[in-house]
Amino acid sequence: MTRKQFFLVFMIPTFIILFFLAFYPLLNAFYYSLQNWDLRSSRPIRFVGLKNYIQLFTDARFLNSLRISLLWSVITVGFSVFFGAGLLAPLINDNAKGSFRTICLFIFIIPALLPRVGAAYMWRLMYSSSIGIINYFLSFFGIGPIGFLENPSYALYSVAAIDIWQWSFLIAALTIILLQDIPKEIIEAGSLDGAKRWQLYRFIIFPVIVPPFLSIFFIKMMESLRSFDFIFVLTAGGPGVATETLDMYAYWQGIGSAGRVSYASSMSIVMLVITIILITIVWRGLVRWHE
Amino acid sequence: MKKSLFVLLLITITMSLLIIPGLASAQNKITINVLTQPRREWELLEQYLPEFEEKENIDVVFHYFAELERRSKSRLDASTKAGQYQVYYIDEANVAEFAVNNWLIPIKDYYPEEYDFADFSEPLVAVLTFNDITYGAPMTFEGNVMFYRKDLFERDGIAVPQTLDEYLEVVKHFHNPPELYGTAVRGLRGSGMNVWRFSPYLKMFGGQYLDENGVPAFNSPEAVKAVEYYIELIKHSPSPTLSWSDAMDNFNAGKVAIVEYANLKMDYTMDPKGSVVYDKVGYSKPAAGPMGAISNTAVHGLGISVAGCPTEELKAAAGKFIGWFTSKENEIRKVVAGSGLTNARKSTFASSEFAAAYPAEFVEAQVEMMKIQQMCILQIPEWPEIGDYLGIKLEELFTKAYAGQSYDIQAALDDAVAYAKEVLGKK
Repeated sequence: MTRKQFFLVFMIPTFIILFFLAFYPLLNAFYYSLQNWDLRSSRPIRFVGLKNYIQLFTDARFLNSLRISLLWSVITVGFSVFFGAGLLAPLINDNAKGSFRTICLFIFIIPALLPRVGAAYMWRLMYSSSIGIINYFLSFFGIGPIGFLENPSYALYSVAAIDIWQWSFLIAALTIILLQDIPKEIIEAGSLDGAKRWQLYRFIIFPVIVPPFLSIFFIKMMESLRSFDFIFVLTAGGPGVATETLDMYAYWQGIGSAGRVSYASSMSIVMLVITIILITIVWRGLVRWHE
Repeated sequence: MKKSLFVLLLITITMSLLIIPGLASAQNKITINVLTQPRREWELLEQYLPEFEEKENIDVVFHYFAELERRSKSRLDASTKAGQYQVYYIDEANVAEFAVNNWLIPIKDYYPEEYDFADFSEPLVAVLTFNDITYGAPMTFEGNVMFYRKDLFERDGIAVPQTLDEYLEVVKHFHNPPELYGTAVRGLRGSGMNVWRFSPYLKMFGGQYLDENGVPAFNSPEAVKAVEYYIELIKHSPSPTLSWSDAMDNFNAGKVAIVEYANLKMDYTMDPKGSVVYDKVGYSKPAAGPMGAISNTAVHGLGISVAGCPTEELKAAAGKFIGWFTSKENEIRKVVAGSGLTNARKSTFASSEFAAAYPAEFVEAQVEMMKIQQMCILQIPEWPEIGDYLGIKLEELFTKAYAGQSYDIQAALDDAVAYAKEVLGKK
């Protein structure tokens, strides 16, 4: 088989599948976003051009959801990476050896193995101000009850804490596995030159694992922009709109209550564009930093 | 080789003879898909489904979704004409929307005579009727009854409150968190959640959703008073975002002194398996506001989908299923099994089984409640959208008030009214 034949046999079916699974829904969403399709109305569907997009930027609830989405991403990605790769992984890598290390890795993976909806329900009960175990323990210190999911000032951070809990341990486990493959010689060379432990991580170890670590980082980043299931179970976007992310608002507008499919589609397209821009900016920044 | 081929051929022929008649009969058998929500009485009647399936040669499949998802799923199925479901679970909040868009078939055209549609309580049928056409067979209704802790009231010598002012005094008297909360009210956002529960208060304080010209007017001084009162109740609840079931779960756990809640929740309160207060509860009619006492009416029923039933055969099958599900026999089964309040027939409420199943004090409270039943939400297609937005604004107020933060009721209602005007203006 020639190289060209090989390409045709293996790549064409892949592109066809990709087209139907990824591009067709995307093109459809864009097509709908230019119309006035409303599930609750039997009026004929017609093209309205960019009307939905223009309306988006005068919609205070959309702008709020945009702000919440960005805040959510920064908090969950930032803290998951900081706790997982920055604190936990070096701690375990330096201090846990042999079977203890294996046990740690196993334990770290458990939160991520829990189905997200199940984990969310579990935490919702734990957070409850009347029957939750967290408030129960806080009561021994004369604190609370705290409305973790009910107070508009805490709700987003309380939900984000669960996401960070699920991801930081997984990121720590993956980082520990990456750290295992670093040649000992370069670490020993650094130590001989008098580098302190944090300097070894900052200047020698982390730069070596950056390329594979970037994949983990981007997976987390994209996942953070799609935390619908988590937020839906815990707060459904409330209290008020305090935890209403873009995908949550698109759901309420499209299917949840309003039935404005076209308007919700325009939000999805804006979200896609924002995701691409964000990932490009972060990617370039990280690559430059690594170089 | 030839022998193997012969054996293979024989097996193929035998299998075909066995399978083909089965396929033919499977093709003749109609399947009715029912879009519904998980409820105790549905699980109960699901046990009796085989008797209907065998009698009518119809397969029935229940598809369960939580209340909000059930509403959006049925809207999606009907509006896109997907037709995945033949029978929809409908309620007072979406009958108008479904009727205006011709998504439901008039139920009386296909409700079998043998099941006696005239036996349904007329006010309940009226809720599922739009422009004089009935779109659903009622299967349950809801109104508010006062549930109070008789043991605590007797201990402190407190009388059962008759007015909203007295009710609030009682709530404050018993409020001693975290051991005991004064009351529990719904705060979770949604047209069928906090807004549904808030609506009778709006009326009892003299407010209304639309003025005489059909213009949204729920930002009036009366509406502000109603929200102020509701916020007082929220402040004495275990949480400002309780859902439909959370509030009664707290009461049944013995953590709440008094609630006004759906009559049909009494089945759960009376059940010793899930309620620690099953023998400590007293019942009364709802407390009266400045404009008198009002109980909000909710009616849930079953309707036939236009998209899901393109043929006469399917329409008839769906009608037969609805007839059987809402039959007198099944209503009595529910009474005997401890779900007797999820019924809609006059004959059931007058039956000896019903009288034997419930305390006289509760039956009396329910009778009084039925006298003050009113449809407090708007029965217009735009209601879910308007109600959901108001629900968000109310939830914001409730959670801020509960957290001790500043809030502005007038601004929140003005915002919700502006949104309602925009939605109504578009249609």
